[in-house]
Amino acid sequence: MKRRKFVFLSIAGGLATVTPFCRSPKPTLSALNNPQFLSTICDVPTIRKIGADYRATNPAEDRESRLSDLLTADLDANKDRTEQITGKIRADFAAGRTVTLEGWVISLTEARQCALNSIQMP
Amino acid sequence: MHTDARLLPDNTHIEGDICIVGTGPAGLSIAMEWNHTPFKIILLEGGGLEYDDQMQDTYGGPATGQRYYPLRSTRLHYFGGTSNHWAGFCSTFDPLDFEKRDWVPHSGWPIKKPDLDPFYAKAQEVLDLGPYEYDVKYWQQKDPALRSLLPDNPVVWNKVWQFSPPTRLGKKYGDAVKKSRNIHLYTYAHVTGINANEPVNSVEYLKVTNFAGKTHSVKARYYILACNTVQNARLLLAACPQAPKGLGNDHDLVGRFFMEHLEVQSAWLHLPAPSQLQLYRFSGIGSSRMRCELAISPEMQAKNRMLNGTCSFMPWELSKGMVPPIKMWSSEDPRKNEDSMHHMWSSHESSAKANVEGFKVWELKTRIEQAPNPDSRITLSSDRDGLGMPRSQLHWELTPFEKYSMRTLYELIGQQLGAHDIGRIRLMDYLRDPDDHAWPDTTGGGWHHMGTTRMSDNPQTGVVDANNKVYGISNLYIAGASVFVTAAAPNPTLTITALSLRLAAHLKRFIIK
Repeated sequence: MKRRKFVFLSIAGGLATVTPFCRSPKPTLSALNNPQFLSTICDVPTIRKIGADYRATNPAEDRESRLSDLLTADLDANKDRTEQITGKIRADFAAGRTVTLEGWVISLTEARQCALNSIQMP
Repeated sequence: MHTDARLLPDNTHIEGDICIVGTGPAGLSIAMEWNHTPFKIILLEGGGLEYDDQMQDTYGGPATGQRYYPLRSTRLHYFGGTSNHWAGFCSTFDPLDFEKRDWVPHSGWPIKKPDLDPFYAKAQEVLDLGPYEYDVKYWQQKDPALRSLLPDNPVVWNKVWQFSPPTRLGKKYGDAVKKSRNIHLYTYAHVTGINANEPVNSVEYLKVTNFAGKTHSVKARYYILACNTVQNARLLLAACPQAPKGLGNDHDLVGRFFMEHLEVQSAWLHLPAPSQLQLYRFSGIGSSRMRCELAISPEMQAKNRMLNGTCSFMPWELSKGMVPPIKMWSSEDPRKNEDSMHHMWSSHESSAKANVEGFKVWELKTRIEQAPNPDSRITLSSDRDGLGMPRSQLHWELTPFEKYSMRTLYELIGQQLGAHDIGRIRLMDYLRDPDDHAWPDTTGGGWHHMGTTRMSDNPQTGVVDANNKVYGISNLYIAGASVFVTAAAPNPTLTITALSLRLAAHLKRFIIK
């Protein structure tokens, strides 16, 4: 075995051994966990507090996968996700699909975004 | 013509065609309609031409139920009445306010908005308001800077308020009254007796008295009680010896249905960028001509089965240091309360003017009608005032309906703001839990007393008929907000004046005929 190949395999093997014991990469803000408009008027702790409040009052949705599924349920994979979420939020408000959390009158979609944020970025 | 009743010989007998009791917006606007006519108008004012603390004290009385301002200092007992300290806020009632709403018990006037429209237009002149224009588009055409917060939508609309200078009616009409040949103003002529005939179906004469120890009688063909909501009820309940349960009170309605406007800080509006919200700003007493408050469409009120109310805006940076009126207006002396209020308002106005870039966070204040409630009422106290009359006693009672309506108001406004990417609403603590029916200690009224001699087309459900005549009494009428059936959202003075002018027109037709 050539020295270069030995070094590569050693490192790869080491990583393969260690990786299962490491945490997955830290999630970043995305269209799903970042309520875009709300974040222009609320700070991060407030968004997480709203999210925690939503999870407490809706325990059936208190799972990352469940919230992601609900947020992406009717999205078109070929279209911009942020724009679609913004459209969902507007539609929520127009249809009266709002919730009051920590006093904030927000859309159901925004509430789920906050909830997801509070799980992924506690 | 003016006479100080303290200077008349005791037991003077005064006679005229129409006797008007009270010189506030109701009494004075009616009296002026009869100026330069062949009819002799007796205009009675219990107080003097200026403030008199001894007379003011006759307005004092205890209160129970929801915390309220001292009764002694909410109305003024001298020539011009409470117009001597009002702030000048005016708007019309909505057509829906006159309708029977199946979700608002005891609602429904016997008159409709079009019945009042010509008199609203005339009342604008009495109160020195602008044109009779309450469509926001009219004002926006004159000033494009008055931009709406929301685009046109079926839920939330801009309700226009106009501001009187504010007109002090005693000052405005004082000279005309004194110079009038047919209006005879008597000051210090405080009514303590309403004497009826034996079957108690008409008034024979009034007894007036004062602290000079003089008592006089006043006889007229027609009598109009135009005191104020509390005093009109008190007089009917206490002043007629032939009707121990109260004049016009065969159905135990006099004094009931006392209503106020709830005026309470309720929520915040958060905007992504600073704004001046010019259309919604009040720039101070005497310097504002108009502004808007956000209101809910009749269709959405019906759909949500809610009361009528509006929302006004104040920069949070400035309002957070302000003391709620219910805490500030705590003195028995109205002059002290006025000084405190004006000091607070003027410091707020100067701070607001210093800001040029606008504000991102706004405090939202509710102004909402109180649902007609027979248990919210004026009764007589066992205590008597200095002239021997039983004092008024207020029991102000709110219900969960008002709080539900306030919460719904902000949810609906919040939904429209969200749907148009304009901002977000945050409710104050006390409004967040739908099952919490308690009121915060900031809850106050607008100093607006209404409803104690309500109007109806049925004597079993009202004290006066559609022409303000007391049921069962042929020559007694009532003017003022005590005849209101529902309170609507706006401050009452414009509607009081319009209804009074309508009563004057009715009496003219009736008497001349």
